[in-house]
Amino acid sequence: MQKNWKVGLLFILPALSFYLLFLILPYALAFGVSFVKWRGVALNMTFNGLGNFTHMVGDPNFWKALGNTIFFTFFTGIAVPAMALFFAVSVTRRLVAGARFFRITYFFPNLISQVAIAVLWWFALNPEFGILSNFLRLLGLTSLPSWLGDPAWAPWCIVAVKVWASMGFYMVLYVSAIEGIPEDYYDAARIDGAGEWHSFIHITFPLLSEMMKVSVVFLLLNGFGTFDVVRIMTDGGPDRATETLATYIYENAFELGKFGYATTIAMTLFLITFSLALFSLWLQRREAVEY
Amino acid sequence: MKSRIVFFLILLLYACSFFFRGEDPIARMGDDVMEGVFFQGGYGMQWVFDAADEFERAHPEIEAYVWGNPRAWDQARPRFLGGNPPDVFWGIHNINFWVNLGDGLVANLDSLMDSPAYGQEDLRFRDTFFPGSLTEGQSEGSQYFLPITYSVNGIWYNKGMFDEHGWPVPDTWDEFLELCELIRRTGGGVAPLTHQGKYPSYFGMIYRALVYKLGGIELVCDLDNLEPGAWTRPEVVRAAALSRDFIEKGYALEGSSSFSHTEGQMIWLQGKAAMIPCGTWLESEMKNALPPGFQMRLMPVPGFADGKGGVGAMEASAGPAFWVPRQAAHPERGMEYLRILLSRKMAANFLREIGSVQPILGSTDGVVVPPAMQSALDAIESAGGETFNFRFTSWYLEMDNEFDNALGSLLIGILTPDAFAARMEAMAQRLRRDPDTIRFHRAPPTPLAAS
Repeated sequence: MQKNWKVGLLFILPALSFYLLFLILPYALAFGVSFVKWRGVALNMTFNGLGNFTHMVGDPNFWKALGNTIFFTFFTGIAVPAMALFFAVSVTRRLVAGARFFRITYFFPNLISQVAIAVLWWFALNPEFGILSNFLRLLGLTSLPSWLGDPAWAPWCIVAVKVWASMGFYMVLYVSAIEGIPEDYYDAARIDGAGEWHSFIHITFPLLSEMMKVSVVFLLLNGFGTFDVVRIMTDGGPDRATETLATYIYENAFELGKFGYATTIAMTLFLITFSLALFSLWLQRREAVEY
Repeated sequence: MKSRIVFFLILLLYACSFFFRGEDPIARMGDDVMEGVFFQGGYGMQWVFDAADEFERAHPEIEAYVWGNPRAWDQARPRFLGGNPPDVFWGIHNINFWVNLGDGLVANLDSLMDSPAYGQEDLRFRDTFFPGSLTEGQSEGSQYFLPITYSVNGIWYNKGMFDEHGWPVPDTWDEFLELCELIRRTGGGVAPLTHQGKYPSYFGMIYRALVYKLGGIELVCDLDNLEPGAWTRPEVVRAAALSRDFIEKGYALEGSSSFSHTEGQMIWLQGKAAMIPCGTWLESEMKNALPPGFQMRLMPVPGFADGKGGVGAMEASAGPAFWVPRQAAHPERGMEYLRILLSRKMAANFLREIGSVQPILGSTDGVVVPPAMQSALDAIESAGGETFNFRFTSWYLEMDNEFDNALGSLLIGILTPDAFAARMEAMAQRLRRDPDTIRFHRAPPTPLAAS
């Protein structure tokens, strides 16, 4: 047994080395950097103790960015699974004609990079020549908002784009899970007089719980890491109305030359995300249903 | 079978890496090289290559290897960290010149400034610049940064549209508002002005000019010097009120608050608005989108007959751009490249190729200055050479960010003029108290003047 353990270690050593070198070590270094003042260009670092953390607690922009990040995570976290589930059930249970077409169409945004999606929607939301405003004008609406330039609308535009961009991925996850549910269950339910709604509530939804668990963790990670769409569409504006923790980290590190402080926020973000992921797994800790 | 094919393909891919790995040009050239890294933006790269050719003609024993791209600073940063920076550098976007200076990364250029000018050996290099144009790159009496262009900010107008409708170019703010009203009445749906609202610093060109024209250069210096109470002075608040009032009157094209710089400028070129605030880089930035026959002209932000700054004064700047990294392998070669790049000959070449003026005396002699740029120079001449510029935007990047955010909120009506001023004053106070902020000071400067 002892011998086998050593051989096993030998086999995993290359992968473990890379893991330690390129993941654990950078995290450990980042943890160290969060306690120093560092501008990120020269190797001049000054130990700052908990100074970066106390500064962060008193920084209103940090709280604004955290609030926005929670806003984006919460609303995409609700809208994406709900819509993905709705469409997944629709196309797997043949509730709509042309289910195959819709499967491909909804997944299509996942084939495009987030950057391209952000640019696409940035043009679409232009109040002068964008497709949305022009369509609404065709309907007779005249006093239209300046979508991305209006702090009341810009966060919702970001949520809408994030939902549009990621919904297809989760739909495919749910589709694969639903297709794994034996048809016999539905047949039995049908014989007992259950309609589609009751089949969904009592069969589909409970048997999707494992996949829902995975998707919630994905959405949490994705929501708290919101960066590219915001960076391109609004640059965090107007007046930080769409600033997220990730864009604020970028601003501090790369624009203001405060790498130490930016790393402090990054470590905080990591701790928040990690805790939330653990919490969501704990919340859904019931035994997996096997079928 | 499948796994064998995959294994073979991976092996083939690995083998390819031996043949298509590229090469390190610096390693190939050995030590007889001068390396320059430059931001590639609206000005392109040809002027940099031309200067490299000139460098090699002057120093045939050294190869001038210059390269660049839009993310030059981000790409060069690891080399600065590794102590292996290029010999000469120009980067924009996210670069804080003064923090780099404070970190000891920037070479002192005083010896270069006192050396003979390239092609005009009877003159010192420093004496070939427009008067006052070197001050923005100096710290404690020494030169660390050199400017790339002499840029002038103001309000661009569509000359063809103005001529067609007989619209006058205004001098005072009241005349400007009358003009906007006239455009709205007679322009057939054309908005008086659009702006690049996603980046409020563009409207900042109007706001800052109003501050100068109301409060004069002493107020500008007080704002730059973070003097207590400077941001809450009546002129600062009044400039904010006038800016907000302008938007409230509906003189800006609807939706402008969300336009990026290229969107706003494109919409202006499409004739949907008559005017737009911008600097003299506008023509080269939009050269691929210029409609045939489009004529753009620059006017000063209109002023006030009773203001402390001249009615026609222009915001002009020769801001910091080029520098020589102190840890470069050959800093003296980097300085030599700058001596050539900013010579009268190469500045004239820059003007011919790009249409922008570098702050080098005599560089416009015998060169046809494009009408757009000429209009900027004419405007300065009409103002008797009176120019101004603000330094807080490059000295204190946090304040610059706060200014953009607060101005954006002022323009869309979230902040009142008083609240805008209070917010800026709070930021100034925070910076005054921050022990890590490198403080700068300026006295009322000698105005820049074009030759």
